[in-house]
Amino acid sequence: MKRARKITIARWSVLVGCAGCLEMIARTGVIRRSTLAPVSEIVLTLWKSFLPGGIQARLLNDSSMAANFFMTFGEILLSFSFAVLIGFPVGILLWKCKTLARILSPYLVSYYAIPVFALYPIIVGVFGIGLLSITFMGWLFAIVAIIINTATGFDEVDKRIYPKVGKSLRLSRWRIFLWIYVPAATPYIFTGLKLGFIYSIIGVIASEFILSTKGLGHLVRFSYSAFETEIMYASMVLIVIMAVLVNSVLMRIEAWLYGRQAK
Amino acid sequence: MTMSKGNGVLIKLGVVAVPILILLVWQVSSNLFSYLFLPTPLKTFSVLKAGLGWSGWLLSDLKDTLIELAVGYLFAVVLGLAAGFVLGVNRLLREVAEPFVLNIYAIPKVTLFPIFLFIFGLGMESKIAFGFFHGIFPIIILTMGAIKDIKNIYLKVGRSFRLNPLQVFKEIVFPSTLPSVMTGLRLGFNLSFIGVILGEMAASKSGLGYALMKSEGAFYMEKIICIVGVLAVIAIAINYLYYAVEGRLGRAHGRQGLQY
Repeated sequence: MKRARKITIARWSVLVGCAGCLEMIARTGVIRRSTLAPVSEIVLTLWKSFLPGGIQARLLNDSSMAANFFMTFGEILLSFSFAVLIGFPVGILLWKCKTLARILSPYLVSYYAIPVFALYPIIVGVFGIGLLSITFMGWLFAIVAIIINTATGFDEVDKRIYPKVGKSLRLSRWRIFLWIYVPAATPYIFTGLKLGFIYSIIGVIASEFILSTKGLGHLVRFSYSAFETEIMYASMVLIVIMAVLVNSVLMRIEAWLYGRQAK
Repeated sequence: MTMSKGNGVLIKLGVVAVPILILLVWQVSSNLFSYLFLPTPLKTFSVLKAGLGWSGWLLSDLKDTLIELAVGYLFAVVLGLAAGFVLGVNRLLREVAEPFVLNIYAIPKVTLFPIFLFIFGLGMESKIAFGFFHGIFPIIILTMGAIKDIKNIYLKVGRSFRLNPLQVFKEIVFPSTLPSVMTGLRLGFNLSFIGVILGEMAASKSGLGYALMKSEGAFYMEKIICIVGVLAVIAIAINYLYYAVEGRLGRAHGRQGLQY
């Protein structure tokens, strides 16, 4: 246990050390203020921006950092929910229908090889700039990870023993699926959900960054061109904190699920 | 997996049918839904032909993108393998660095692009650096994991044969980490590609991503579709190259090849 604590302390010292170095570099003026704001001021800006009326209205056209944050998070949740709602049944379909799975497999394999964001201009051409295009982009980036992991998860369930147990207990096909297959495939499926959620975040924020009028990604881009360095860094920090929190929680749950099944 | 022959033919037909189906849907929807401003496939192909022909509109942007990708990816491979090796060998360093590496891998790196613009400017350098920054993390993660997972018994065998460090690397470390490392290199390539294209789309003066956004502004849908197609072909070709190597390695080591 003592070693684990030392490691944790070392990690935090690295983090604090880096922040301290950046603070020093910015304070001593080695790098101009317009390029690098001191960490303390970034944190202060972030804090103030969440208070009502704390951030310059001219920059955000009367919507606060909080409003942009909730906008972005809403888009992420929306795109992720639709990705699950459609990806999960499609994954089950691919598991049940092997022919279809084998037909689509070369295309699914290549999917994440393609820089999917290149499709964004086409999507904007069809849906226009706004919530619909951004959510669609997040959905598009997330869904295939969910499909693939759902199909693989059910595929990996031991077909020799598990269904026989269900049959000997005289369970209906639906109950065998719900009580045996779903729990057995849960770790894999969860990995798909984890990837899907992370991809939703990336898809939504990247789309906002490239072309949009609202949201955190847009805020970074806009404050960059408006030379509002502190607000730019503050929104970056907010995005990074959000992504790291979500990622850490999902990784913990994933480790717990795999550990439980290994026992 | 055993399968009847009829099924195999059906699958092959299906694989071929998918692009034909997409072309058909494209043709029909470009005719039916005029409000989508979707050009017909034939018109798009003629634009593509003009773009790839002698001094076509695509070539100079394609060249810049490929240069950025090649240089950025090369840096990611060299430094990623080195960092992955160090972190794989040194347990203390690995345990301290792991959460940083895993979390940076998961954050939407595109928001950090302005920092690259501050440091490297609007030219190709910022795209190279951004491609590098995207590609290096999967390479580090998979190399680190592969080195860490080398079975201790292999190293013991090496010791009992009195292999020198170079021989240990050549006979034990290299072959047992190769399959994982190849996967890391493939994923790194994909992310480097995304990084370069995203960088070009966000702020650039050349490259296919830049051409995409320029065509978007001019609402030149034919060009947009052509560029997406070219990007897809490049990405898929390189990935199948990697898959071929990975599959061969997987078989040589008695492991199942990646299904997806």
